[in-house]
Amino acid sequence: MMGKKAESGCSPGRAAVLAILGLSILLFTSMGAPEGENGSDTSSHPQTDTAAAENAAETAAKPEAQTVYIGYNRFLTQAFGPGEPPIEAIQQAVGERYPWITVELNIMPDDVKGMRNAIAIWMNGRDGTVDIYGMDTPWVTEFGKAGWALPLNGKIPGLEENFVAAGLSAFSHDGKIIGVPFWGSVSGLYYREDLLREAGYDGPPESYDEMIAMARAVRAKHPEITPFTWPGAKSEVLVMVYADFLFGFGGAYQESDGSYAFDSPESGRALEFMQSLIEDGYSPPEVPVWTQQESYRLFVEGKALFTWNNNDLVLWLDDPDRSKVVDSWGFAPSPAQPGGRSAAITGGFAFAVNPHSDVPDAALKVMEVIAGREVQKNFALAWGPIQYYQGLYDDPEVLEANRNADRINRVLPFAVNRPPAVKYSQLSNVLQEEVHSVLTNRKSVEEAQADITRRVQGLQ
Amino acid sequence: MNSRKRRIYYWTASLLVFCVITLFELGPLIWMGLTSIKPAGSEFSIPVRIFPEQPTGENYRTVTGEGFNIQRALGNSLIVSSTAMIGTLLLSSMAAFVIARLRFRCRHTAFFTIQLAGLVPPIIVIAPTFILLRNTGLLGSLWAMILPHMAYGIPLATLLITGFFGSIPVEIDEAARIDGAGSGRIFFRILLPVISPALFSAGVLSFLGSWGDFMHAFTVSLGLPRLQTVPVAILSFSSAFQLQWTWIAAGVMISVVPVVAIVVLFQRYLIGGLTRGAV
Amino acid sequence: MNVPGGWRRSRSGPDAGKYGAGPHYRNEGWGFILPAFLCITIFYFYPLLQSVVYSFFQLEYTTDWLHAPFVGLRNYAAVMGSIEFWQSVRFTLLFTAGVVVLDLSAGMLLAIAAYWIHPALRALLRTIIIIPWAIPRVIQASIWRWMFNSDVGIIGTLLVRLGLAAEAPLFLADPNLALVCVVLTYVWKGASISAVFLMAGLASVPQDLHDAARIDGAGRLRRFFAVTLPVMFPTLVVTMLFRLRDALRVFDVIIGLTGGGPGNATESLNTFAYRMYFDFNNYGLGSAYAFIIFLIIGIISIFYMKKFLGRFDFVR
Repeated sequence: MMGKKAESGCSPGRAAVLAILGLSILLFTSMGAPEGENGSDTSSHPQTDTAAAENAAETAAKPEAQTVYIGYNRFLTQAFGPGEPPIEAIQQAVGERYPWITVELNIMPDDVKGMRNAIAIWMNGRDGTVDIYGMDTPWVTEFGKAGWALPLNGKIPGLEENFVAAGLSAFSHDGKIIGVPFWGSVSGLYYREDLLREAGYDGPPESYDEMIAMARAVRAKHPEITPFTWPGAKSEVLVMVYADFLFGFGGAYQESDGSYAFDSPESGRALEFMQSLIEDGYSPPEVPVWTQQESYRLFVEGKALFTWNNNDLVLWLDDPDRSKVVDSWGFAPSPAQPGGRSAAITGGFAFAVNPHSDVPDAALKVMEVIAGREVQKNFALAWGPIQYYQGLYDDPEVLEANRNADRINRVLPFAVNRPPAVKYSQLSNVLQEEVHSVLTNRKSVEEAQADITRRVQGLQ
Repeated sequence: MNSRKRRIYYWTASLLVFCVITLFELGPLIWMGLTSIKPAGSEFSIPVRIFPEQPTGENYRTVTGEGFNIQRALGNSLIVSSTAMIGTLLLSSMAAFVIARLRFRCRHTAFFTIQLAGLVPPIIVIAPTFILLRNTGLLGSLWAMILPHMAYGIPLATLLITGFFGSIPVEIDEAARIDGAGSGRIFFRILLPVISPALFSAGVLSFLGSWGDFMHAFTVSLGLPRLQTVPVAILSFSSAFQLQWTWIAAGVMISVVPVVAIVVLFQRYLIGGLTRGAV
Repeated sequence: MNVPGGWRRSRSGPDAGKYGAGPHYRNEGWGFILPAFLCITIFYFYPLLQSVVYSFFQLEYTTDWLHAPFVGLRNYAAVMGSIEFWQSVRFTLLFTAGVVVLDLSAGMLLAIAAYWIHPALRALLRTIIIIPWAIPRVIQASIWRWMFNSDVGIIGTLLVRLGLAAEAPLFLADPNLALVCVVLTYVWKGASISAVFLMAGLASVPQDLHDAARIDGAGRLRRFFAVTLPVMFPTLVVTMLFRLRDALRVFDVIIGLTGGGPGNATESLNTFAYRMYFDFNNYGLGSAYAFIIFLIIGIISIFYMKKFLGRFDFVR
């Protein structure tokens, strides 16, 4: 095809081309070898150790002003209860303890996937702009293994003593604590006490069959009330919802030999039930596009009977400015069919330190403040339970603000984590796609289960 | 009589076609504009109203205020796209000159190589480019966007300008050579002004290409607001404020103004440059 | 189409070669072409090769291939064996075929309308047709996502008000509708781009051909198919090539509109590979995917160019 112009004799040109290419490859691949990129999680960050030593000395010499950036979504600027917005509380507390450090918020996307991707890009770009970032519970294994968070053992005074062991272990990998938890959640079923009482029921449903019966009874009297709303959009939340139903129908994540059990008949029944909720009209057809926020809107406005959500909705529901169902709602463990169990799927966030941070010692000081009672208590007041700081829930102020603590305590014993996986983001993606395909009737339950099984091989 | 009727039909038909096309092409923008002047929250009221009951500029105020600051993204985009455009034009016109005019041994290889580069999809270059930018310390500055955009614009610009050279008589070169001018002089002093229509059209194309680039700009912006260009900023709006469509609409309207203005002003060159160029 | 150097053989030009002393090459050309070439090498060829290198290693969460295990073709085997990959191939090919046809047809209609319309409206219409081109795809996706909103989207509302549907359909949740939405959003801008190219082509049809045909008694429609289209054939071919390449790379629209769609119904090649890179941080596998995508696009483009453009040799 290029024969005709060969006569023009471009071989020096071609040789030059190859030479430039070859040279550039050598040049750039030799640049490609990074300085100890994999050593981050066991590396002694020399700066940090000496800084920790200096910390004890706390000299009179005025340290230079430093700014520490926290990466989190905009919820950090909001308070749902009587506390202050968390970012302000953090800034204030840091201002008192370490006045030369300024704390700024770097706003990240609302959804956890967006957050995770941004963090991954920083890690690969070795960018140190954001010093502290929010870490979601399922990421712990991945981030720990990849060395994307600075191990905190021994670097934060009081951390191991003041926190409940379960909270710290949720954010530990291989014995190394990589996050300071500040908020945990469990999921459950919200229900309208008043409507149920009117229909002759004196408590929340214990099984899904009961729930359907209740829905029918209430609908007979109030046809405009939507029976059950839940978030069905393709997102991480969908994994939690599916896990909830899975346990409710008697399924589990894994078989006894460790292989995944998403293809079990119980799992199939759970998926069928989710599908039938929409088909039979107990849940509106918009469910497959609803995010968490969109799904609880109806309930908060008094137009829904049941809704699935995390425990943090309680603060919202008691606020007369935002909710129309104050004093007429209840929170209970999700229903379970005979043979199944209620499952309160856990969530939660911790703050972790970016190993590439350009101000690691300042970041650790801020972390120390975050792990302190003041900030943790503010989270309890502003966002509600669950915090892992010991003794927080004996504090009268906290109890006062969290009048629903007993309701949440009833749900806590049923806590279950997300499916375990080393490559959790991939597992989550597979579950999201396949469950969503079932909800939108793109695949039958059998097809989806077969596809899930095929795609999750080796993700443990 | 007949011809008068004909003219009226022509007019009416023209108007009809005009309205239909305008509705299809500008409809989405108009709807976005209407949404942007509705009070926040009212865009969800049912029944859906097309025109706002109380038009307000508050969304625009929100979006240009703190925390959103869409002007910064606009500024970034302007800097990145104009610089990249200038770079692309310079490099491409020089290359086109060599390919179309100079008695250069490797013209064909050169042209083919440059066009081959244009076949490479962005997805395959994005990771190594990211690492390269990191290792050279450019990550974290706007140069991380300017330089790659400059390179990405070269294949198309070269194609256009090379084609345009074809419509310039060679006699100009020859006359200059007889006068003793070197290639440099010929190119910079004589030919560059002559190919300015092609430069305009290639310039607009590469500006728009750089402005609209998302994949690369998103990755390289590191999620930091100070590095975001317009498309990245708008998407991060949409995900950060999923339900606040009035705000998103205001952001979109603001961001769309500069590019639409450019296209409207330079549309003559776009079409003209293409006619005489590669098409 | 115009080729560099013009169709007419110039008596004296760079390639005349018939001068007495034989071809005498100008080496200052190297200086002119080197900057562009350097730029392209750094940002196109080097990353391409580096990506290929990555694809032979097991690279997860890191790109440090010098310290990573070499796995040969295992990543490629995984790609070939992945059903989801082939689903995204199928989607992309279907999408491309549909979109190119729609793009060109709509673009042609728009170009003809701009050509035929009353002169007073002509300039204005041309401007209006070009405006969608200016809008970045991601922003366009946001606009259309708002219009397709299931609760208060204007499209759903209009459908109901015009009596075409009982209630507003859930555009982005229904797998079939989602595909239609993506195509429609893409074509909205694509038709503008095609229209601009085709307008240039239409303008290049010499008027005397039209006149001759009219004198011969050919009606409007006949003239279009017998005269205009054949003369515009080169333009059509080039336009189609551009739209084809563009459509195969669809990414922004899908990310902005459906994020891969209900399930993975609207997952295209590019979104799939991007997910592999940035959601799963599997750079080895992602590079294998990306290279295969490059091959697919490259082969289709080259095949197309060969078939319709004869030789590659644009330079005379």
